[in-house]
Amino acid sequence: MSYAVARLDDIDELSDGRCPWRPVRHHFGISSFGANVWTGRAAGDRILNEHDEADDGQEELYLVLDGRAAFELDGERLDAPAGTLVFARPGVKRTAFAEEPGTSILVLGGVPGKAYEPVGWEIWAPFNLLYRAGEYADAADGSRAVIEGSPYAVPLYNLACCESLAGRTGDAIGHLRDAFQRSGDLRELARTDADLDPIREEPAFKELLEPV
Amino acid sequence: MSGYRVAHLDEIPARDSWIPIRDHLDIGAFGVNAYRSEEAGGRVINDHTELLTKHEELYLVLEGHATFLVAGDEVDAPAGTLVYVGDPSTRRSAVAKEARTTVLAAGARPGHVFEVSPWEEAWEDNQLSMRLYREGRYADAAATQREAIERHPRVAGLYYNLACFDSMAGAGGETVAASLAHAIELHPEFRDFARDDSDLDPVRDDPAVTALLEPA
Repeated sequence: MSYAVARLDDIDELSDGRCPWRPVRHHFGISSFGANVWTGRAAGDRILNEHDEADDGQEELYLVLDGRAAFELDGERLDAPAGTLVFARPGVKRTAFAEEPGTSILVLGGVPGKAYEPVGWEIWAPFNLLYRAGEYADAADGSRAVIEGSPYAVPLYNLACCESLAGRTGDAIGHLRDAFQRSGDLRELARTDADLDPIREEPAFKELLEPV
Repeated sequence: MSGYRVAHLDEIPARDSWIPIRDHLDIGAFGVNAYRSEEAGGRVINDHTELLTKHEELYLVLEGHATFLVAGDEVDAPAGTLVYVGDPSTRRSAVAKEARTTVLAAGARPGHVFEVSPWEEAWEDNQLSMRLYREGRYADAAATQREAIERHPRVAGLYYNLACFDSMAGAGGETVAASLAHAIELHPEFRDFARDDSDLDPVRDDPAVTALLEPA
């Protein structure tokens, strides 16, 4: 199939406990730019978490699709009815709130001068709350099927961290092996990641860290 | 520029049906534009492939109601519909089913750094000559296009259109072949376009043209 069609409402929402989003990029398997739609159900909901993209150098375009939003950009407030485009370079501290119920914002992103690499944070984010709460076994149980069925390296690595912390040594090593096959760079992270300390002395883990 | 820019879709000066979002906001990481037809039945997305750019494209109907034609399939697309075309060779187009239908298009080439198409910069010049072409003033269109090429010497589409204008103006096979050769050199995909383009029928049997259109 050379094309795919979906209504925005057909794409299941994901949530990390804050405003939900529809993972458009992930849904279609787009690999050259980021695309998601965030929705604030009630007036006053924070739609976009405050962030500045300074670390990854990503520039982002926001388009208010429905309702009315209020952006804050480096402390300046901006009224943004449907049809408003906001383009923010890395370093701009930005957030947005719903001014009307059902306000939704499309976000497109990429790093200028760099080919886009899909990380797959979209499918990990819903389980990050469990991870941060120390519910490692629940995070692993909930995310395993989705992550194993996806093409990304970082969520696999995160799953392995949860399994390591939950005492599931064999699962952790298996998923780390798969993650390293997809992205060898993650080996460097694994050398000092405290989440992997529970399996650090395992011979199979040491073998995985050897240079390939 | 400062760290951010803001615009409402309706404030961006349109170029015919094209609302050039990327250019207006100076976005450098991906392509993004909107296209609008004020009338029902009007063309919103031109019939095209992405063979030249190798882009994957995502379309989102922002308002109104469109009918897409993708790979020969008709797709009903009310506001809120997303159409993703991953294969650059897939033909796609859309017409407005309702007045004031607007479609957002975002695209980039997987695995590659995004580059602004030189076509965007040459667009206005090309529009001048296309207007003359549509009026049947083919020789005037060709003269205008030659001036455009002096300003934008690396834009394959300008050479290709010049070949078409010259062909229709009766300029002869060798003149047409010279422009067509430039276009094909810059973008080999133009060889395929030329094989089916009726604008080139007047010179299709000229040896200089047939030699260019043989399989590479």
